[in-house]
Amino acid sequence: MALPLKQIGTFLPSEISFLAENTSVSIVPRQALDVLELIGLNLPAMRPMRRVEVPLWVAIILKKQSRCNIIAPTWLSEDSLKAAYEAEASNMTRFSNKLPWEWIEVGELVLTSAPDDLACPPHIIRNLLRDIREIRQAKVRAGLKSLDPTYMQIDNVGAMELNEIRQFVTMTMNELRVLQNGRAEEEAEEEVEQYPGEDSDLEDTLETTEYSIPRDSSNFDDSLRSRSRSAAPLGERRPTSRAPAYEDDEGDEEEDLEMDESYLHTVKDNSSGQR
Amino acid sequence: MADARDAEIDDLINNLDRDYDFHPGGKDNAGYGRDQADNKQQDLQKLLNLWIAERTCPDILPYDEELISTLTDRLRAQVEFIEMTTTDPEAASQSKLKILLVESELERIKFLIRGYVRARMHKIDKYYLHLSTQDTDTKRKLSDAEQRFVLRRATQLKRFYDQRFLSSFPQALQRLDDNSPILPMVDTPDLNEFVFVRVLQDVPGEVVLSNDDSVDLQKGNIYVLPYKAIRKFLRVGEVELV
Repeated sequence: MALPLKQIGTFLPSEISFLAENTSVSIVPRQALDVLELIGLNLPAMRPMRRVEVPLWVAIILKKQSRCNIIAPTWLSEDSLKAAYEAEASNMTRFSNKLPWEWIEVGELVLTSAPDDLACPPHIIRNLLRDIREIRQAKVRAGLKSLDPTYMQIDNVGAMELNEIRQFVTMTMNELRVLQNGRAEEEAEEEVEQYPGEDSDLEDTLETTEYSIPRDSSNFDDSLRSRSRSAAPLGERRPTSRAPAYEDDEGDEEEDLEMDESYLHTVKDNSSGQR
Repeated sequence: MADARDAEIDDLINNLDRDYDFHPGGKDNAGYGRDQADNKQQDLQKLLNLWIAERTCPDILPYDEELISTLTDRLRAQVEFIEMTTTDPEAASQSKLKILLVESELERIKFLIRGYVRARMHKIDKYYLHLSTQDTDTKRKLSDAEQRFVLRRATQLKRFYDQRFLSSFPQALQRLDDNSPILPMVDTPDLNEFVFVRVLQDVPGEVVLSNDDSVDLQKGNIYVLPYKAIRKFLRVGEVELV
């Protein structure tokens, strides 16, 4: 609808790259250009062979027309990339801080738009970048094993790397949290018979709801409140997303299992709804 | 009375200073230009952050009326600039490059603003019942246009459902906003959802999470935390969503 499914809760790689185009780089213009007032900045006056700092997207436009040379950022040189690789390899549990936030995107953009401006052959840089990326990906994968529903810390991660794992991490952690809350409540509370919707049909459900629960939300006691919070992802989906077929074959399953099922169901439902 | 007059006089004096600062050429003018450029960069950065935050945050965030109107004003000015330059045959030949740059930036800013509004629209669509029935606090997060949209959408959908099928249901089942705690009908943003945040300033003390866990937020680090836990830091700008 307003937002394509692919863009909900995450960014497209192209959007991350778009963001990275706002980082500033040094260029050596080959042509004079007066100060140019833009919306997000004023471009400095350019004189041939005088270094100026401009956003990367300006540099790429000028470079395409061969009106400037891009000076690659210092971290994008053979030596510092090798150092960065060493740093990555020396500690397999943390990311090194030798690379900037947008390192994948900026590296890629500079390599494709200005391969001739690099101090050493572009394939060397490309290989180094790939090596670093692989070693960091291995760390990410290792980190994903220890996901838990409280929090996670990932320092010095890159924008693109973060975006790659964003949906997986947030969805997993959200689901883990729901499961954990469900379990905690099962232990703490016994009023299970008040919990409708296991297999009763819609009308029954709504009626029991009416009898047992006061309408006015200010009257809920705390136990109900906490229950409703944890049950929310389940409850809010059920009225709309439950298909008749699902109700039939789902008898007295375990609650955990059912959460998985209804979750899968919503995923399916969402994707078909979006089309 | 005397206070009011004093304030007025103070105002005048301040304005005088400012006027005076702007006038003499050279250095001060350059300073002013720099200020303005700084503002522009801050505005752009703000817009970028807004877009990112709105896309990643489970809840709808306050609408930045001021920023968007400043930027749309500038957009208009740039469009005028392009028109002026292209219609002038003499200038056109020399300033192709300039126009190219101005146009590219124009499109970039437009893309961002559109993205921002669309991300908000998505949430408004999703939580329209919650937003239309809510108190003024929630309403303040929406722009005027968005508020109108929410109300219109809610009434139109309600009417549509009524005419189609709700009117043939028993009275007790006709409500769309039955918010019983077990099966709430009104979708609300789940504030416990996890978000990625970068810490901009050290947060003193530990942030307590559920299950008695707590975490120490240190500058520059990136965490995945429940939105609820970092909401107040986000508001004062101690953390940002990434």
